[in-house]
Amino acid sequence: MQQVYTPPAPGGLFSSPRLKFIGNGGTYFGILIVNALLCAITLGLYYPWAKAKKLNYLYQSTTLEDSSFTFSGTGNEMFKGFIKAIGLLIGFGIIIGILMRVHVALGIIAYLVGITLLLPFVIHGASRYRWSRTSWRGIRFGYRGDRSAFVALFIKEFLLTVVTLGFYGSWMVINLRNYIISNIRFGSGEFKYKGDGWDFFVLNIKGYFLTIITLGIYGFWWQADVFRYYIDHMTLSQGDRSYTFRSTATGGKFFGVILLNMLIIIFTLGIGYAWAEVNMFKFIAENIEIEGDVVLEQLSQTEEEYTNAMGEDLADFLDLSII
Amino acid sequence: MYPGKYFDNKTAALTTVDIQFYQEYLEFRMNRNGVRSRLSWLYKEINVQSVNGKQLRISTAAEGGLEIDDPECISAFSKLYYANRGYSVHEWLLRLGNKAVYTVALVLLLIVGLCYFVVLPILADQVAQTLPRSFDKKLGELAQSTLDETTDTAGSKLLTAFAGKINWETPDTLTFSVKSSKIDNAYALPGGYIVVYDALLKKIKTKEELAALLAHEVSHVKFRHSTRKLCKDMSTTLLLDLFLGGMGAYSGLYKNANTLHSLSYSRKYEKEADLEGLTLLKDNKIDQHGMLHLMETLSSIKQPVNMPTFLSSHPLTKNRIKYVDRQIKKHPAPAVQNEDLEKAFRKLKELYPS
Ligand SMILES: [Zn+2]
Repeated sequence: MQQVYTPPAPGGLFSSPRLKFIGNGGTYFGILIVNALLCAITLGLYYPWAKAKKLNYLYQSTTLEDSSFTFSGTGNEMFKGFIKAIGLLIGFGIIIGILMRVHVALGIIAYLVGITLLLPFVIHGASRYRWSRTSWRGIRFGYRGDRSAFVALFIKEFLLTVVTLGFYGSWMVINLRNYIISNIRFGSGEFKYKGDGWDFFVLNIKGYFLTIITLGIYGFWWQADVFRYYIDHMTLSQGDRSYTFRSTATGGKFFGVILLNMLIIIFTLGIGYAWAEVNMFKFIAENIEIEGDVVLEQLSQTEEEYTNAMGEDLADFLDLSII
Repeated sequence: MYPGKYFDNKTAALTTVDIQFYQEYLEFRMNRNGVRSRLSWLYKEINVQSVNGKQLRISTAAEGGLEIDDPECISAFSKLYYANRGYSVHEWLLRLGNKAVYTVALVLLLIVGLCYFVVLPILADQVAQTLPRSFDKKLGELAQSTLDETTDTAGSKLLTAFAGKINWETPDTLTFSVKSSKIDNAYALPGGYIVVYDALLKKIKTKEELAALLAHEVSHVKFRHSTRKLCKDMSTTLLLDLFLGGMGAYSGLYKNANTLHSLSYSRKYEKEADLEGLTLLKDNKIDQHGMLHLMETLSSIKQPVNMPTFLSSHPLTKNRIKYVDRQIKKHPAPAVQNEDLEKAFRKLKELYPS
């Protein structure tokens, strides 16, 4: 009997843990179809449980160093969030309805302002819930962002984007990403994201025009650039050791996987959706390289459990996809 | 004794352990940095996750968890653990892998197919029947107000006079009108609004043909085809939304598949209207061959590419001619020369010469 992983020499040893997605399309399809059926039978009430089952599978099919991730959120938790979210949205709808009767423009303005104000709360709530329910070898993730700080940041960035007619959008995306990812903890490990709005803006402008010039072909390379920008500026540090992340996805690879998925979906009349999604997850996992001197075995438990799933459910209603 | 790896919920380190399974609990021993220890967990207090049937993760709230990938260990554990408590559909799916998945998927698809092709139409018809006929009327009025067409008043009066000579055997109040359009078309809106375009009137040569055309349209109204189709379409959309929404998949392809099916569904209605139309002709002692001639007239019309409604939803003329012919031979009936009808028809034809 001995420890599986010998502790590294104090001088700092480089390692590159493998991220893998080992799910299979058949099983995933089975889960989705059972979910779909139960949702249909219960007129949608099963949704929170369906979502828990789906996330469970996707998380446990993702492995780091051959140990899988766990999503420990439950349908019951999410159902409570679901009810609260519905209540909130109905209340919001009634208020908008009343204002609409007073004056249509007033209603529309209130609606837009309401949604804008709601968004940061939703993102914050969903991040807290989702990360606190994610773990690896028993070590919980966590999101430590401060709600009022995030809401203030979001509103500031959003207003700037509106005022600049969307040109500030690249900065907004990157600044929000900087804030959110830099507040994610992996036990005692800390994620950091250091992106620059200007770089991201240049990348997008280049991608935009080249995509138009090449009649869309460059779109795949644009996508690969964005993906690389999202991945390569991320780090995970534990004490004075750190991991860097690197994307190995190229435009050509993106082209391949997207084309394949489109063919699968078209020729199976959409039934192959599950397989297509699995392909995409595999693609993403395979194309993230992690390297550095962090010792994963030394990550320790620091994060608390958080069980309020209202943000998670609201995020679904507003069609935000958070993975 | 089976091999496994233990994590203690304090750090992410894994320690190899030896696991042993008993009837009600499992036990494992380990040696960490020279310290020997032993833990045992009751089956009822553990949480089990099977990763694609190849890896097992057992976890507890307070004492950490185990990762097991030894196949013998997994099967030994499963025998004892699931014997005690059985497993849910989801767990079963995850454990048995592809074979189970395809079986379940097939069964579910069959059930869904059955719902879609059999249960739903029946249910939708049931719903349509509980709707009062005044609903059809309202629907027809609404539809008419959205269709911006010019009514030919003189022609409409003559057509109404023609139709008045026939007993339509229906409780609906029928309104006949002629509208001017370059398209050779006729349609029936729910609630009894029957419209014939003047272009089509010009092509019709005999009173029997016109009677057959009206009989077909009146039958649509009588059987409430529009309302039934609406109920069917709406419930199908609802089902698809619920089903596909739950599956997280959304594809325009489904919608198209549905449209295709709803087209064939309406063909069933067309046949019903044709056959009922024949009965109406027979009951009024009008020559049923008018229906055949009408179809020949219709099939001789050259279809522009974007031809909506009557013709495009009545595309299988050959097939229709076949079953109409068969029906006439099965129920032959004497036709009586109806002078009033002939007169009304001639007046109409004066307005719309061939
Ligand atoms: Zn028809």
